[in-house]
Amino acid sequence: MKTLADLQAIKENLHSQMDLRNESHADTKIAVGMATCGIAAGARPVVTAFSDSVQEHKLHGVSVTLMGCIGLCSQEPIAEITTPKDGKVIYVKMTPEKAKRVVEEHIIGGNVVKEYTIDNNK
Amino acid sequence: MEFEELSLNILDVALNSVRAGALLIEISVTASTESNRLVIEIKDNGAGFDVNRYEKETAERLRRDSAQEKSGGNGLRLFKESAEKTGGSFELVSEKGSGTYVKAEYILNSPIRAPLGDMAETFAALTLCEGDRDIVYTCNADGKGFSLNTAQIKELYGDAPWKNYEIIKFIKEFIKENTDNINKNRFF
Repeated sequence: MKTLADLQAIKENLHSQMDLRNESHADTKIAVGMATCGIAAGARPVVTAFSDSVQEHKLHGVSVTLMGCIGLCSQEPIAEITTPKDGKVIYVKMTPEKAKRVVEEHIIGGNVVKEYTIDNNK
Repeated sequence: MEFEELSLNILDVALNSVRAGALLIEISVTASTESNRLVIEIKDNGAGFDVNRYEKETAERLRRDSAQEKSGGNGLRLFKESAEKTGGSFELVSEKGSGTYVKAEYILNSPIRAPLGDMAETFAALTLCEGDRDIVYTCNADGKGFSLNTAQIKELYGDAPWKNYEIIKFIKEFIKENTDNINKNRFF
C-alpha cells in the first residue's frame, strides 16, 4: 500500500529524468471549466483525460488547470486550449475521448479539431 | 439536480475555497456505524462571506428563477440538499476575513445517500488549480483512518516544482489504496 515514503523515490526518479524532458510544448495551456455546471456535466473525467494524455505523449511543459464558469453552462464541459500557433480555442461538450483527440490532433498535430469548437456548435 | 457522488459536491465546494483565496483547505470524511452518520467537513482560511446575505440572496434567486439548474451559484445548495434529503443536516459558518466552514451530515445507511465516490480524482483535480495552497484530506471509518497533506509533498520538494504527473499519480493511488483499506466496501 502506498505510503509517504514512496514520495522520496518518486522525487529521486524525477531528478534523473530531467534531461529527457521534452519542453517543446511549454507555452501550451489546457484549462477545463470546473464550476458547478461543469462538474455536473462531467468535467472531472475530462480533466483526468487531458492530464493522462499529456503524460502519455510526454508533453512536458503543457499545463492542465481548472477554470471557473464562463457563462456557457449548456455547453459544458468546456476546455480552453491555448497554443502559440492558434491562440485560444474553446472546445465545448467535451468528453474524455474528445480530450484525447484534441491532444493528438490540435496540440501535437497543430490542427484544431473544428467539429468540437464553440464556433461549430452554436 | 444532484451529483451522482458526494466527491463531486466536495470538489464543487472546495473550489469555492480556492476562489476565495484560501491558503489552506481542510477536507474530512468520517463514517461511523455506531452513530449511523457520514460527516463531511470542508474548512478554509479564505476570504469568507456574509452568510445572512448569502441566504437572503439565494432565497431571492430561487423565487425569481425556478429554473436554477442552468445557472451557477448552486454548489452549496446542492450540497445541503444532498445531506438533508437523507434525514441529515447542514451547517454553514462564514465571516468576512475569517474563512468558511461547511459541514454536511448524512444518515450513513440511508438508501438515498449518494456514494462518496472517487475522492482520489477530487483531490487530484484540486491539486491542478493554479496557485499555491495546501490541501489536507482526512478520511476515517469507525476509528480507522488516514490523511494526506500537500504540505508533506512540498516539504520534500522544497522550491522545486512538485505538481508533476508522477506526484498526481501517487496522490491518486495513495488515496484509493488507503480508502479501500479502511472501507472494505462497507461505508462509502
